[in-house]
Amino acid sequence: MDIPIIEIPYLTKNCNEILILAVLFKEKKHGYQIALEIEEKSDGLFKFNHGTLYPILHKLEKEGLIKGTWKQEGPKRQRKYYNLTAKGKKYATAQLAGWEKFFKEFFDIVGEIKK
Amino acid sequence: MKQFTSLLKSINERLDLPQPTKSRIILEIASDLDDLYQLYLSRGFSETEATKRAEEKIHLTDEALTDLVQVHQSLVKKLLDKITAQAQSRWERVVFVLLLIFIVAISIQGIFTVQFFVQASTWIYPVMGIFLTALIISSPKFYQLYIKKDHQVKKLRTGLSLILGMGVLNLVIGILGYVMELFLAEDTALLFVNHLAYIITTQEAGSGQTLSNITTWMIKTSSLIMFTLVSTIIIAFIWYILMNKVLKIEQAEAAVLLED
Repeated sequence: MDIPIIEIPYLTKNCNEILILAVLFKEKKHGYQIALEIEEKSDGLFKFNHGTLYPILHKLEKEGLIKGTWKQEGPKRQRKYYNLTAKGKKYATAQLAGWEKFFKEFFDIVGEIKK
Repeated sequence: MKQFTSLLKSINERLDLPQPTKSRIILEIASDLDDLYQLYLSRGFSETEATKRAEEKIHLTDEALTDLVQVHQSLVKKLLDKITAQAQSRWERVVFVLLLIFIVAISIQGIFTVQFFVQASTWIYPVMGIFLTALIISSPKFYQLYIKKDHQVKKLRTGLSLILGMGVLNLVIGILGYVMELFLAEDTALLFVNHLAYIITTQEAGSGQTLSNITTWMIKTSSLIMFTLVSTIIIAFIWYILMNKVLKIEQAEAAVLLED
């Protein structure tokens, strides 16, 4: 498997993508749950504005990495749940390797400060 | 959800997308807004504060809206939505239905005779198979949309692409059959119009067989092409009528959502 390169200009985009894919890795969730879980798990470090969330979710869905399904909840309520596709799982695993490499290189350099 | 109406209306106005796509996005946002509102209420905020916080959290910037529009604007979808959105008025639909009846009526006399099928190329059978499959696939959709009227946004468009795909496949198979028959006629003269005209006008030795081949090919393929075109037009009309109904339901859903 080729390890993807996390490019500095697309850092935010890649970071948002991997966070969403990670949260969806084990179970399906809807938009609000995704944002809330990321925020809570990171102790508020990654505050996800829903405005940024929708374009990313819809883009990932278009690329076939996640799949959105509508679920009727009550007579007047519908929710869109997202789950990771097989392609998405493969992509997320590759991205994780990319991030590991990125942080290894990063700390190899900035770790000098501690020495 | 009344408290979010103005926000949802403003997103609706700013989203430059076809109505069905827009409706689904609005529905998703509305559902998340409501969840956030309930969350803030449960955390002890007042109704006004909960509304304000939920709206702040969902805030869609112009940049985010542009990104959303870019994600959803595919060329084919844009074209299809444009076509179906063009005939929304009752009179336009009536004209289309009358046109369909007219096409079917004038075709039926020629097509549904034994002679027609005896003369036709064998390629007519796969075309017929696809046509019948498209009709079978369309039936439950008609039932769901016009009789049962059990409208669920997530299921509305299910099967519509397949019907359209059947129409395209129908046309492709018909044209393929037409071209294959041309090659199977085993007479290269058929491929060259100039040579063909020469044979017909001069009637040189051996041209009798060529003319016979040409006539057979013409009879076989004219039936095939006639059936292919008529069946494709019918499939296209079925898709068009169903798509229009789906669009109307989606628009109505969006209107209800924005009024609530």
